[in-house]
Amino acid sequence: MKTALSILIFVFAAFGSKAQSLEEIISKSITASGGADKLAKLQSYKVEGKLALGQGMEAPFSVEAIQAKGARFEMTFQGMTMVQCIQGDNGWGIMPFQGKKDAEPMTPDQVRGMVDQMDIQGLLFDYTKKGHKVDFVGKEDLEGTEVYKLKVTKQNGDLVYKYIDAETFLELKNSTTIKMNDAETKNDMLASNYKQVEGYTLPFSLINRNTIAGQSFDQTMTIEKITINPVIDEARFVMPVKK
Amino acid sequence: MKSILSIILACWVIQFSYSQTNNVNVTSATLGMMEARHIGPAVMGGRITDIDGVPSEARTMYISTAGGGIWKTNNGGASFLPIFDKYPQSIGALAIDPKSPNIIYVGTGESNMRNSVSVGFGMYKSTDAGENWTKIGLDSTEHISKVVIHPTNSSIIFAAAPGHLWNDHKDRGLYKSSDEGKTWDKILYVDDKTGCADFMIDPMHPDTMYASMWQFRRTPYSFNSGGPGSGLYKSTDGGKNWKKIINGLPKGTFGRIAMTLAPSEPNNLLAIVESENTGLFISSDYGETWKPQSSSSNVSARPFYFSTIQVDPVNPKRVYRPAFTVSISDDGGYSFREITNQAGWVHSDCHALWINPNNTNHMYLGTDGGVYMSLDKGNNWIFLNSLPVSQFYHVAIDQQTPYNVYGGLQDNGSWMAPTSSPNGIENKDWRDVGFGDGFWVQPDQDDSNYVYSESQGGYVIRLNLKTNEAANIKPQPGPGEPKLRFNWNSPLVSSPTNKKTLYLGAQYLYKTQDRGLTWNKISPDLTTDNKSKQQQDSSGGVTVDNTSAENHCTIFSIAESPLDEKMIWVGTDDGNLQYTIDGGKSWIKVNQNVSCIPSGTWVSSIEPSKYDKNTVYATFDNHAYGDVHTYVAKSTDLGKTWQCFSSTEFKGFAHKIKEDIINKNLLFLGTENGLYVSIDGGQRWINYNANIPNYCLVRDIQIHPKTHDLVLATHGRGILIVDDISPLRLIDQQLLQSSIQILPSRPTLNTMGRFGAAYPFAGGYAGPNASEEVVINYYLKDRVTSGDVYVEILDNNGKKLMQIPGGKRKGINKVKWNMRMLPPKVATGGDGLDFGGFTAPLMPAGIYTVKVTKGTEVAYGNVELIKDPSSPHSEADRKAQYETQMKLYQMVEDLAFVSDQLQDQQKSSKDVLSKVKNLKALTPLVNMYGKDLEDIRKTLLATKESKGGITGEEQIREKLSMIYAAVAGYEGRPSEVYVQGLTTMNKEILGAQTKLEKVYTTTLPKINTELIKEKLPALNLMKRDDWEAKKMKEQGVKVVKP
Repeated sequence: MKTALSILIFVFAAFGSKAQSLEEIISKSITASGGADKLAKLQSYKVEGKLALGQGMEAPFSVEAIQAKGARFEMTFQGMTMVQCIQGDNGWGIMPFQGKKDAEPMTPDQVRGMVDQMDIQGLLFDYTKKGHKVDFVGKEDLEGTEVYKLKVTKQNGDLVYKYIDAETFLELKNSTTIKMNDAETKNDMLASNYKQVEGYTLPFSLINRNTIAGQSFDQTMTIEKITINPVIDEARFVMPVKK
Repeated sequence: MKSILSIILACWVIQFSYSQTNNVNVTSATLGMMEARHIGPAVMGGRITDIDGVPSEARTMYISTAGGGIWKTNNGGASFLPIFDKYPQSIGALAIDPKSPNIIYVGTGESNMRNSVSVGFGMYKSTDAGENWTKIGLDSTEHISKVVIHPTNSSIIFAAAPGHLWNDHKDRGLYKSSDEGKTWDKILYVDDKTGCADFMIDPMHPDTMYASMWQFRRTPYSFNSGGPGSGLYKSTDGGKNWKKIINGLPKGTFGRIAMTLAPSEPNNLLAIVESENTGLFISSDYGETWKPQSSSSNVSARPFYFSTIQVDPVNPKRVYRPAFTVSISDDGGYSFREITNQAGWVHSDCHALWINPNNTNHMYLGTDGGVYMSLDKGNNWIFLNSLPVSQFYHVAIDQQTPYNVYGGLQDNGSWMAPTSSPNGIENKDWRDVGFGDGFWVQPDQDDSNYVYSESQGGYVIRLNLKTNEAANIKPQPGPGEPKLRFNWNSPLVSSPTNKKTLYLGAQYLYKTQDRGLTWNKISPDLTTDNKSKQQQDSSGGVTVDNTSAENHCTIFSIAESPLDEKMIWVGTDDGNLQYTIDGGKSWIKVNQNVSCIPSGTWVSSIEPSKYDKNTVYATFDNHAYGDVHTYVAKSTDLGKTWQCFSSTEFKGFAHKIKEDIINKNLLFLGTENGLYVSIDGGQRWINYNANIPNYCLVRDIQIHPKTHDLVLATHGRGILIVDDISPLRLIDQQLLQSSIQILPSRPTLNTMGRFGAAYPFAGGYAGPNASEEVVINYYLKDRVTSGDVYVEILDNNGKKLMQIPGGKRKGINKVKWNMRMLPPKVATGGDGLDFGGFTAPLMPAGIYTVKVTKGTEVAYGNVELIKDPSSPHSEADRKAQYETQMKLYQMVEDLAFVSDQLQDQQKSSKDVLSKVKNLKALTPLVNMYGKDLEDIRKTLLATKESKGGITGEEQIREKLSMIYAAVAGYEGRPSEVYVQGLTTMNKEILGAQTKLEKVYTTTLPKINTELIKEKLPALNLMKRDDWEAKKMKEQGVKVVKP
């Protein structure tokens, strides 16, 4: 279950697209989200909020991440806490809802689908250094809002499309195409309710949208608190030993 | 203080931030989530025009269709996604760059030049495997039959354009681009009547290339394939110079030529040459000389329509000829046999074939009825039943619940299906009710056992749905009467005023009121009866092709006024528009008054207004004279004068105009290239593209009088339904300028769902059902990027039942409420999830308040839950169900509290050990306390760790949840078993509580005594009120107590 954690990449990924030139859009987008200096200084975060599970049910969640080192997602429901965590090239998870309380390793494909969670500064920040390629696709209409569409070809070959509001330069949508088990899976994330946190402009509402056979299924995450550069013990990213 | 409800009732809609400023334009974005659901079918597909696979990854395929755009599969055909919905839906050809398979070129405009073929708008290119597209020219060619990428230089692209079908035009021939599609040069051209039908390059000598030129023309009443322009050409210098090949080919005039070469031995060519003696020709010297070869009828069949012949990429001797069926040769075309079909029927009329070059046993076939895959060299075929590209002409609806749709399909007969079904509308839900090319289908309005369907040329049958008996009821000419002329797509129309009346048009108008036992001719010949346009016997050109597709001087549209049974409007395919006000005794011709329409234009639809007898709308279609303009007009004086609608949004010739049944200013228009809507009586129009392809071929439109659904017959995407268009009826300036406003929705049946299914949908195609939940509609003037939007449901006491995250897009948003309150809080700390925690009580029928909050703005409205008239449960039974489930709900929460209180004691007693000095005194007490509590806890809920297995352990929580879910999951009176179970569980909970009380009153005071000695605060039992308060805070919702 990559979805919940992958939402969080969005929080700090509010960059980019091309109005006049690609670089100009990226630059304006970075400025809109707080500026390059601020992003360079962003080394860790903790995000807390609620995940809507449907039927009015909500589950509290949190994400802790350290830039380029690791990320840990937790969600609690009916007194049980699921964990998803990646560190470097490895990942693991605890899915207690069917009675399994031990940590299990993720497959390499699952980890590949989640590596962006460790890039909390966002794909577009220093993208050349990170080995990504960015292309301007064009100006588009996103549900009635004018956006710039950017294509990010990641170092590992996976594709991400970013839709940047042509007026505010904030990122409104992020579409990923990830190869899992050698087959493509797509996922959309929509961001809104941008707020200021210590000089960063961040979305406090995220919708994770999966489209199956033409039908969309939305899951809303409402963020209540974002802590910038907290101290996080890296030991929290290490897979617990089986009891 | 006024109650919230009274405020709502006094003012159904409260608007915020409304101010009279500049007008806000309606745009496609205004429609927001007023999206169509696509119900299929895919039990039969539509016409497939091209199939292309990625050789290096042969499970990635692109399927090009005649009217449904391009579909991509990444899994060999297990599922497909449309990837061309913003662009023209009629596809001629597609090519994948063999060197970089993410680069794709598409030529729009199919080239199987049948009467119903659609048109394209030029070439498109994608550099990212179909994710994004750019238009790259050849805009006016209308039809492109082949796109070929140079085998060694990917910058060079060729496009073969047969060009305009219905008129002379210079934009046709063979085009070449040397700069990846940026610019194009016409490199082979004959004249403005002749285009390029086929093109190929020798893969081993890529300067050698072949082109077949084709002279062809349709008129509304004839088809001509062939003429002096047709011929086979060869170039050996990359297309600079061309010579006509004649050596060995027949003398006389050619029609269409289909050709191929053996990729592994490209000196071997085959061509099917349409001529007076259409046949197969073979060359073994690079096309210099040709020899005639005997061939089966399938090989030489219908050459204008079957233009595919292909050689295996590896084996030069194996040849495939898809036509009526698929013929296979293993000796280079010397002899052919037809496929065996042991795996079942393969749809006739085959147009596309893709052979996997890395495994030539593996291939895909495109037919008039969809796509098939073979794994055994084409001997047997598996139908890929998840591609919903069926081509409807018309759609009808009935009054059943759920209502059914009925319609006829190009080359796929006539069908009906329910608009909701368990697991969605699956292929199995579609029932065929007629044969041939299907057009009009009408349910009997008086007896749901009968359905009438019509196939080409006026063949009407009456089908008894119970016995499956079909009676042919086509009218016949009376003594001394001339032959009846039926359009290919003859109108078969039900009366809106009399359930017994059915109309059928030939050159005369027929009416029956006895299910077709007798037909009364109620008009004279209403056409121009121009004999020169009635020579279909000799139509076809070099090959006769008289299938009734060119029948002319016929009635094409019929419409009875919803306000007057005796007022009937009739339109013909040769330009006449007439009406009667006396049931057919006399007729008044008015088409001459429509000044904006060229004379002779087909009257494609007529819509007499339901608001005013003198008002009528009509669409006109002149594409058969080479004019694709959108003609729509309205008269308010019975056709004496007409106002023609125009819009820069319009694209494509017009098929159908529909007036809304509630708001007379709301109009819908279907054209060959899109759906359009006007909210101001036709003054301004927008393209309706909410989950509808921008260029969708919309042939027919219905609005359901009960559900208020907009139902579309599309010619390439099956039936589309926009559920409940009520919100569209309220779009006006006041709404458009509102920051936020709630819009009405139809009442919702207060049920737990009629279309659930225990066995999951497993493959094929399933169109989504209409929502069985309450749909809450609200309008947002702008996209919300700051602040949250959420929807609250309040009961009639103003208590909040639920809060749901709201959409934030510009225009109309939709949020669904499942008519339930929140599920109960369940006891935690056990093994695995508890089902009771997912089960919420259904709220009773009634009116509920909806509150939508956007930042600091709030809008109120209400929704209505109505009793299902078909429900077998009495009011008393439903009351018993509601009350029992609420008691059980309370018990589930009682248990949760008991469990939380217990665990709180376990934790806090253990925690104090770290704070006390006299561990010796306290530790045994705390340990005993913890153990006694744990012994009881283990009776409250299943705690055995399953480690992913199934322990089957059942304690109070599991037993209680089972009873609760059973009662809450059924709308009727609860079974006595569960009523008794409730009592039993109550006793068990009380029993556990009694045991707990004992522990709390014996051990806890002893612990507290020790704590007081150490001047530490005593341990207190958690109070129910505090627990409730915490729960509400967590849920953000006030729960109604039973």
